[in-house]
Parts: sequence; structure tokens; C-alpha cells
Amino acid sequence: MNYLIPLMVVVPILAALIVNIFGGKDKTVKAISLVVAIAIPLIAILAAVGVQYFGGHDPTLIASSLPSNLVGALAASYNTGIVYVFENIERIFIFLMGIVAFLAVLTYFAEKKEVSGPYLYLIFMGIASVTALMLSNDIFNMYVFFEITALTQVGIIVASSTEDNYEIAMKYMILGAIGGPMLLLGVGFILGTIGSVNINDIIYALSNNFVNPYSPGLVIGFALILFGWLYSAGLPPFHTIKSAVYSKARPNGSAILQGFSVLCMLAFGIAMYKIFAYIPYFNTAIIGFAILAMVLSIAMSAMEVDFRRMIAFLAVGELGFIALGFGIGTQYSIAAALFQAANEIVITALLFIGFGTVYYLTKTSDTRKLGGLIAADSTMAIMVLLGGFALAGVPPFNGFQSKLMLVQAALDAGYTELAVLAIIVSVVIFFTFVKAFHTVYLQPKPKELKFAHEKIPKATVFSVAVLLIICLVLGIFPNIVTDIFIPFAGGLI
Amino acid sequence: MALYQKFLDSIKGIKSSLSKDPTTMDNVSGALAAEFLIFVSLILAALFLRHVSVIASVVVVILAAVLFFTNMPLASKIKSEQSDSLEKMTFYVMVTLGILIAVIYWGLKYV
Repeated sequence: MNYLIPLMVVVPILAALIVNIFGGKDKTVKAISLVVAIAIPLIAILAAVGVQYFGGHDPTLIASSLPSNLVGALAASYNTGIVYVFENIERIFIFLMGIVAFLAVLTYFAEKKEVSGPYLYLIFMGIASVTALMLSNDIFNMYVFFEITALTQVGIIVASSTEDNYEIAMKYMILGAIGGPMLLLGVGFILGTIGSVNINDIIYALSNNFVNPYSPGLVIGFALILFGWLYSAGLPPFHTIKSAVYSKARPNGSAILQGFSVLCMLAFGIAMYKIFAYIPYFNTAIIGFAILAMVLSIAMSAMEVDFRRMIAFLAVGELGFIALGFGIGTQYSIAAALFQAANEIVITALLFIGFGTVYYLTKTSDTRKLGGLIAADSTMAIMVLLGGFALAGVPPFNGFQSKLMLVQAALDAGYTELAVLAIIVSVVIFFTFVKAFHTVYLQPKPKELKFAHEKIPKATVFSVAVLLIICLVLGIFPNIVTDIFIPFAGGLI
Repeated sequence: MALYQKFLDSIKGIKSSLSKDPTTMDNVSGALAAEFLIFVSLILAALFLRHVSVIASVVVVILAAVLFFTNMPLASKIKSEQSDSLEKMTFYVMVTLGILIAVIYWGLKYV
């Protein structure tokens, strides 16, 4: 038994409670937050791969004590408690999320003198929730932790004290009142049909013909869970509200929020793939939503004049690439999707924090009012530019490797049009980013532009530099993660 | 020539429908990029239907091309539909939910 697995969830929950209690005592809160923020990725690295059965519900132990008339029955094979599964893929994503959270918290402390206990509570609670979501092998448990994540997302926006943040938080909650219950209803249909919410049990029941895979309950369950997945990930029709959510949080908060979305998308995407991949046109449906996400979000970002909203739309558009990999449905494409997801967590965090420095300096995100900021800090400007290159898929960064994998996978699978589409969208991402970069950093500084701060904090520069180094390392040595993703994807299909 | 004129008119349409702010190189270039992206991507997406049915793909590509040309500029229309208006967002959420349930539930009966 590996107690570090549940600790990945327990530690951030405890931290959330403690920082909230100590709210107001800045030094204590900062110290606790930094220690915990370092501990989260460390635990992910140190924990051994394994399975955690909560409440001592190890199915092999239970099976040995069953009455003889139950041996071999469907119910005898079911998991009776919550199960966490920790493999190397979970290790990578929890580690990356932990790193992003640490750097975001560090940036927050550097940019704000008086720290907010509730804001940090929400960040740590959100991290605990998405970690549990990644670890859980139980779709009801996943739903519960997803709802907690959604609530912490709303809380982070509300605690961000930006313009119109309350309005967007309220809208997200209202739309969540449609998406969340539909997801729960889907889980309910699965439970009603199969009698278990454990993913392994569902697969076992389906593959051994204990239930009709096309029974109405399962089919409706799939439709509702697919809808819930769109909501959790921020794919169309939820892409508009998701981008608004990102743009209304503090830049360090946005960096964390987009990581939450990627992990929610992955957790539910993998679960759906394990359970429902047998359904005809499953892949076509995923590809349809992937195309819509890419085209609508990137088109919107190209027309955007608010750079925070522009990055938010770019982040949602990048989710489309992940979905595209899942939709193509080959081992290589799913590995590419996972790689793209890992990259997006890092690159988008870099851009939110990096471009966030513009907001920190000027208190505006309207590109029409900005200009000449390369003079303020040329190092940061160059790092942001390189981050944009990584996003667009320019070598030698990680975005190039994952997008190249995706295009190759599409061509190998015979989906030439999808490969062309992915390249066109990447070109427009590059154009959009360069346009924004030119406007903010290179065009002459407007006379009326006033600075709220003179210098970017060193901690922020450090955070962006660390994220850029990760982008570069994953771009030059992609096999660090692809050696784990490719076998995992092979097991999934 | 008629097609070229139609395209020029659509660009003027984009310019006038984008916003009341002074038009700059940045927002026109952005809108044009969005217009091309939407046009080309949706035609490519229609072509993707060939994996489901070749005939359906041909029909959808032709219909989409006609529909797009007659409705240019697309970018500004799509932008207005993707505002932060709660009514519009709720509308599209409900439409998607309805389509998903209908297509998956009834569609799978005939597989």
C-alpha cells in the first residue's frame, strides 16, 4: 500500500484549510503555501505506481471471503469502495500541475503584498480536486471532485477582484447548473444499468456481455456524459464562457484555471474512451467538437483586442487539438493528445503569467491602449515571444513536437483533411500571437499610457523562465514523456 | 469577376460590422484571418464527412460553399453569436444538449 497516493489529495486539502484559518497573517500563510506548493509536485515524483483501495475494500481480499454461491457472479468482481489508480501518466500531469501551481502562487506573492487566505484556499482546494479527479477510477467520485473544481473556479474568479468578475462567475455557475447535473444524470444512468460506477467494473460488465452495450440507459448515459465532458473541458458550446472565465481571473489564477480544465478534460476523456469507445461514430463526434473548438476559438482570438481574452481563446482552441488526438483514435494520436495536454498546461501558464506582467505594469489589457512595452522589460518580452512560438508549434519547443505528432497521426490514419486543418489553425495561432506581441511590445508607446508599477517582480520573471525551460526541455527531449504516453495510449485502445 | 466583387464587398462588410472604433490594420487583419480560417476549416470539416459517406460529403461541401459565399462576412456574424450574453450561451448549450441526445439516442437504434 502506498500512502503517498492519497496524500496527493490530502495535503492540498489540509493546506487549503490551514491557510484559510491563518488568513491575515501574511508571513505564516506565505510560508505554508510555498512549502505545500513545493510538496505537491514532490509527492507526485516520489510516490510509487500503485492502486489505493479506500476503506480496506481490496477486491481480492473480499473475493476470498465470499459465500460459494456468489463466486463467479458479476457482483463478486465489483469494487465496493473508492479506488485511486496512480500510474506514470498521472505522475506527469499531477507533477506539471503542481509546478504550475507553485509558480502561480509564487507570482501571486510577488505581485500582491497582502495575500488573501480565501484565494489560496480556493487554489489548494482546486488542486486537491483535480488531483483526485485524475486518480479516481470511479465516475461518481470523479463527478464529485469535478463539481468541487468548478466551484473553486468560480471562487477564484470572484476572489480575483477584476472588472466584471462577479458577472462572469455567475454566468459560469448558471451554465454549470445545466452541465453538472447532466453529467450526474449520465453517471446515474450508468449506475442504473450496470450497478457500479467503478470504471473497471463497467468495462468488465460490458466486455463479458453482462449488459447490452446498446441498452437505452447506457446510450443516454453516454450522451449525457459526453455533454458533461464538453462542459468540464470548455469545448463548444462552453468555449465562450470558459474563455471569459480565464480572462476574468488574475493572470496567476488563469494559469491555474486552464490547468484545471486540461486535467478535467483528460480525466473524463480517458474514462469515456475506456467505457464508450465501442459506440459507432464515437470518434467522429469527438472530432466534430474538436474542429469546432479549434476553429471558433482561434477565429475569435484573431479578432480579439483584449490580450487576456485573446490568450483565453487560444487556450480553449488548444483544447481542440487535444480532443482531435482523442478523436482520431489511434495509439499515436492519443499519445499526441496526451503530449499536447502536458504542453498546454505549461505553455498557457507561461503566456498567462508572462502576458499578465503587461496587466501588472499598466492595469490595462486593451491592446489598442498599449505599446512599447519591450522597453519596460526586454527579457520578459523575449520569453513571452518564445512562449508564443511554443504555443504555435515552432521548433524547437514542445508545442512543435506534439503538433507534429498530431499531424503525423492524422496522416497515418488517413485523415489528410484533419492534418491540413491542424496546420492551418497553427498558422493562425502564430499570426494572432505575433500580432498581439507586435501591438503590445513593439509598436510606439501611446502618450497616454500610464504605468501602475515600474518593474516586474523577480519571482514572476523566474516563474516564466522555469516554464520556458520546461517547454524547451520537452521540445528537445520529447521522449521523457512520450515513452510513457505511447504505451498508455496502446493500452487504452 | 462577380465572385471577386462579392469577396471585396464581404471585406467591406467585415470592416463596417466589426466595431464603431477606428478601423486599424490590426483588427482588419485579424478579421480577415478569422474569415479565411472559418471558411477553409469548415470546408475541410465537411470534406472529413467522406469517412462517413462520400455522397453526404459532396453534398455538404457544395452546400457549405454556397452558404458561406452568400453569407460572407462570416467572422463578424460568428463573433456576434459568441458574445458573453447569457441568453446566447444558454441557447447554444440547450441546442447542443438536444442534438446530442436526439442523435445518439435515436441514431444508435439504426446502427
